[in-house]
Amino acid sequence: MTGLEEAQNLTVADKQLTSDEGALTESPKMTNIHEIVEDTTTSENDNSDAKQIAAKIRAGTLENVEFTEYANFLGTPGNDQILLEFLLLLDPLPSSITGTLRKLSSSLYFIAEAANLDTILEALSKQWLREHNKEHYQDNYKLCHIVMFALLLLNSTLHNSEADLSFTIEEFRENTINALQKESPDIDVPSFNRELSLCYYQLDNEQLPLLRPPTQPRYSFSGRRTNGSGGHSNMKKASMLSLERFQTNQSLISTPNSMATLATRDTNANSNYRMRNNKPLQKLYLDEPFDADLQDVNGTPWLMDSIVNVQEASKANNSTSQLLSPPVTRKRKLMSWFRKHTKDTIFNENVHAADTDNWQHARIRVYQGRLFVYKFKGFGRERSIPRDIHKWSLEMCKRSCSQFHVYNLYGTIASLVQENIVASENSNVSSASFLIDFPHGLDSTSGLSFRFKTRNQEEAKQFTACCNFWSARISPIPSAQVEMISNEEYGWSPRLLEGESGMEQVKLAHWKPLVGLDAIFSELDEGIALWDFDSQLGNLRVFTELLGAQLDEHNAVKPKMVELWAKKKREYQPLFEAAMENWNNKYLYLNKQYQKHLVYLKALENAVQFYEHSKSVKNSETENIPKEQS
Amino acid sequence: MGLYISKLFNSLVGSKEMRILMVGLDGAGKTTVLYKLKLGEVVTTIPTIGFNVETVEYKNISFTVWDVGGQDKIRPLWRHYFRNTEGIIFVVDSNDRSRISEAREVLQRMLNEDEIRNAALLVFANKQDLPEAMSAAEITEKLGLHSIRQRPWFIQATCATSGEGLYEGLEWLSNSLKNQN
Repeated sequence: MTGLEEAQNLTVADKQLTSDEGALTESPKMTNIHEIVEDTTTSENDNSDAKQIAAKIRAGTLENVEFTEYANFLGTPGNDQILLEFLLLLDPLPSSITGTLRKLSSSLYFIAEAANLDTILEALSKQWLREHNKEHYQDNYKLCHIVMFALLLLNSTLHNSEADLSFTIEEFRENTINALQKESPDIDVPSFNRELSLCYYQLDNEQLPLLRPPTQPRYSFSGRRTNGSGGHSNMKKASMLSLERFQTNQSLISTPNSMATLATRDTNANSNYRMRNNKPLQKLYLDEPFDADLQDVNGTPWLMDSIVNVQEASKANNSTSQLLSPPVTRKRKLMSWFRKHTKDTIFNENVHAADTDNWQHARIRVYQGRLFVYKFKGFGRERSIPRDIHKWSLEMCKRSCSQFHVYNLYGTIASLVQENIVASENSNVSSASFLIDFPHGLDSTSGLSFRFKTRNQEEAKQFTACCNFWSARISPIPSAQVEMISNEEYGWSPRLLEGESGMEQVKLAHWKPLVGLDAIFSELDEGIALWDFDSQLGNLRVFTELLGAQLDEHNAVKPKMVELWAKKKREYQPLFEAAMENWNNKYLYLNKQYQKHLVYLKALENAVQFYEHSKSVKNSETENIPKEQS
Repeated sequence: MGLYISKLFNSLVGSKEMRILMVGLDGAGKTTVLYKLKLGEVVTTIPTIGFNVETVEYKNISFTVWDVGGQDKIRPLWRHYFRNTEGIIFVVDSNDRSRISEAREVLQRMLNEDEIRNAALLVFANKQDLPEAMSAAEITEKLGLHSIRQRPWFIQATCATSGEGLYEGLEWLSNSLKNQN
């Protein structure tokens, strides 16, 4: 079990409510503080130990707990005694609630999960009331707790640069008194009004101070608000961002045994940067035993390296790309949002195939999840290309080429072209070629397409297999797209088809696929986990089956839709057309996903077969050698 | 000049700010969701004492997400934050069957608040990576979502630690809110 899984399980198993009331609060998940809690459970009931720990927290010297996690630690269930002892160290508490909060936040790094903050405030309110028994609190600590919580909310509203709310003094008073009256209907409203007004002004003038960690420079809190760009950030950002994230890629399919390893990934831009600066590229996949055997063997699904002609074509929209392509501006085309986007015809889609110009010689290598392209313009008067480029080292290629690029193969699909074209002997389309299409996403390679002309059909096939093998291996499966339910009406809900809701009530929404993680995956450069080959293969099987089933299910509703609308009057015709367009959009999307992932599945299965075959050939060769020798 | 360009861009592309309240039981994964969506931005200086608030820019829509919490007696304080809230993100721990009815109760009670009667509801069925996680369909049943007719709702299976499903959810929310206006 991974650390995060452990942490998550602990969160579920260990978390207990502090009262009978359902707590709508956060869990302490930023670090595995439960471990620490468990470590200290033996001494929990020992007051002297609790006092000692509390004193260490006050001094900022508690071992095993980070300074920034003290508030989470104190608010964790089971640490009540330590919390109590810590609050006693703040004695005497100021007579004003704002002053008390200030004293607390100057003595403790008061950034924590909401649940833990709430626990601390509850304990503090009890202690404050014991020391300052103000009449209008009716000896009820809950009223004090509500006021403290309201002040903490107010502090965020007034001073957090991300907050979008204004909170006037009247609104603050009204909101807080309303909450207080829910707790105790007969509160002394004028007294609370006076106190809340004072608290509001105090917080408005100066926000609650944050105790600085021992090694950091002192912060200045004199300013009210700062602008978003250079101003205050929010709580826990730093620690949350350093939280380990696991790209399990199996969110909808439980595979607890699959191993995952954290790695920092390169985006396309990072890869190119690293290449140019001779820095090692980051791994895009988890190493498997078979990689060592085949990753350097040219002509295998693991590695293809050859001299080809390359042509780059900005991919025209295909039949479904308008569904997949979000309406955002591509970074590569300045002001392209200004133009009207039109759907291309089938001729436009393939216009680049007929373009005999713009071919460039290149050495390309498909390797370890990436496509390396080294373009050569040719040398001398005849612009000839050296014949032995294929023997050059990559470093030599890099030095001598006119351009080089590295592309991560996330979500790409490679396909053979011209299989169905019968060409004359003299035609220059007789050589084989293949395409690599980049997915429509949000990154800079969105919709990019390359066409490569190879020496023969066999080589094109091998390149295609190699590209698809790596894409299949490193691309996340967009399983979230098939795990969503909504009450929005697209024209085929059971409620509509079974006549539960009348046609006149129907408000059709426009169906389109939602942009998911897979669309932005190639631009994520955070440290994420890589998945193993077997779980990817298994997940692809499950996903393609799921998509197949969804396609069948979707096909099955079409006759029902037609039947329903056939009975209706002509006035519903536009509604019917909109519903059928929705149906068609979803069908195209599901079909495209199905075809793509089927290609991925086959690519991985073929690679497994290839490996098994090469292993058996190798074994038989090693068996034959002793025989020959003997 | 800059203002004109900004106005022109906004009028062509459409820019909108919307308030989103993110709620859910403790341990559901709200904070992880919030900071996962916020990912990629530079981590800056000083935190503000109080509650998590983040602005997430997504497809010309600026979502201000308040990650609020607190026990029952604190909940009336949210009323101020409900005002002008256009969307609710309700995060559920799909792996915690023992508290799903509590989640249902909290959700139904919140949806009865008058201030958010028109708010779109997005439910994240979180922690789908855990082996015993309930499916989105099962959670739909257990939360009684099918009985909600008067507001748009959408439930998305998610894994906040990896980010799966989060963008789909936000995309739905932004589409839904655009359609409403």
